[in-house]
Amino acid sequence: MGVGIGEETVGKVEFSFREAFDLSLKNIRRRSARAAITVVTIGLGIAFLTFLTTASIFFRQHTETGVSIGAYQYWLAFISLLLCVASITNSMTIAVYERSKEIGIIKCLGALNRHILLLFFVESTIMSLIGGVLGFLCGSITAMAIYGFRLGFSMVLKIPLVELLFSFGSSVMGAFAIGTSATVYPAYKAAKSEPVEAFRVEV
Amino acid sequence: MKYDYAVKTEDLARCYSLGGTLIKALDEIELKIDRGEYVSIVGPSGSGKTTLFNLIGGLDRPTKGRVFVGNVDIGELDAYELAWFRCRKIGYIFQTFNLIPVLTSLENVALPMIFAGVPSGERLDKSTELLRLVGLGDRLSHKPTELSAGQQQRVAIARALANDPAIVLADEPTGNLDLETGHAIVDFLKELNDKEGVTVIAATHDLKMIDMSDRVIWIRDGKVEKTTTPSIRQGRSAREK
Repeated sequence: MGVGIGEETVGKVEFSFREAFDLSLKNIRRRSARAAITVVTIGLGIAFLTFLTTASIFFRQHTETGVSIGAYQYWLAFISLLLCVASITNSMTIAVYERSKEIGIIKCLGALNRHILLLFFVESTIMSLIGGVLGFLCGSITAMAIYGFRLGFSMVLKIPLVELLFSFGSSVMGAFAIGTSATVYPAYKAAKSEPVEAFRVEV
Repeated sequence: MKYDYAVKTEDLARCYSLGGTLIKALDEIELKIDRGEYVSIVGPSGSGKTTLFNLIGGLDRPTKGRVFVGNVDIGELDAYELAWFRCRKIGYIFQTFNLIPVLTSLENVALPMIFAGVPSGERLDKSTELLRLVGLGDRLSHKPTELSAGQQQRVAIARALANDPAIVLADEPTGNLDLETGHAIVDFLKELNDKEGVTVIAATHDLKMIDMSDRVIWIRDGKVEKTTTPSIRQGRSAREK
């Protein structure tokens, strides 16, 4: 202990993906209320979209029912996703502001800007993926239930798996895109802040 | 170049521009702090203590002059080197403890070791050992909010020691503690300095802390006013250098 500088050259600073993942998971778990709100927000947007895509699969299969998804419904879904992005950006900005001191501390302990970025991205990705999966389940199950009652479950059960899988993929990807785009600005701002500035923030 | 000093500053200045006027937070600071020394920095609030700390600790860059920690000129470091420097060479202790609220004591102490690339098993062992050293062996999985102020500051000390820093920088470490708890913290820092040879630089108003130090640097209006050696070390005859 207490060896001075001089004997060694500048070494490595490390922060692996695994460490970022562990730390993000702890953060989400211990700030579960806020994380839950973000997950639900993403989930709702995705659920709406999935509801429409699943329903449109039925209708394409059974054109004889005479029902179809109108373009305006997709517009509604698109607008709800926009709202979703806006609200998550808002909540992420607040989350980052609340944690500015924490970010300052981590930087004092040796974190680089990109480590802070990584931390926030991993966190938002975990939440988006959970939201995406939950949203897909809610949306598709609701669609199946509603149209099952209306048009008979025999056709709902015949839904092509490939299309359902494709719908699942696009839901998760959509959730990821929403989560990431909402995190870019706050995370970038957080990563850039100097510890000295961060300590001055009073929350 | 010889590396005799833990910290050396040359004509150090830091200015801020506040509403159009230039404010000199620090000016013409020439300091030499030996390795293994225990130095207190004393001055009224607004005298530039914290600014000096931020400069020595690599949290801020000087407007003019240079800061050497060992043989490293902090002003010359890029972002990556600075992160490494903060991680490995300095242990920070703050008045407000600055622990991460969502992490347990053990995780807080282990955090700087993540950035130093210490494997997780080793990290756990060392954090446990450090927390035992500060007398918190039975508080490993408590969060900061579940600890008293004195205990939180001890966790912060354990964290500061995690990567065996060359210097421990303490900015009013007893400022938020009651007298008794504060004394325990001061004693502990002194013990570290005596036994482990850690260089301790502390800003303080605490009389006990001032008495314990090898040297006291008085700062006023951003300048070094005087340097004294506490009376206890001088056989009650405080002599000005």
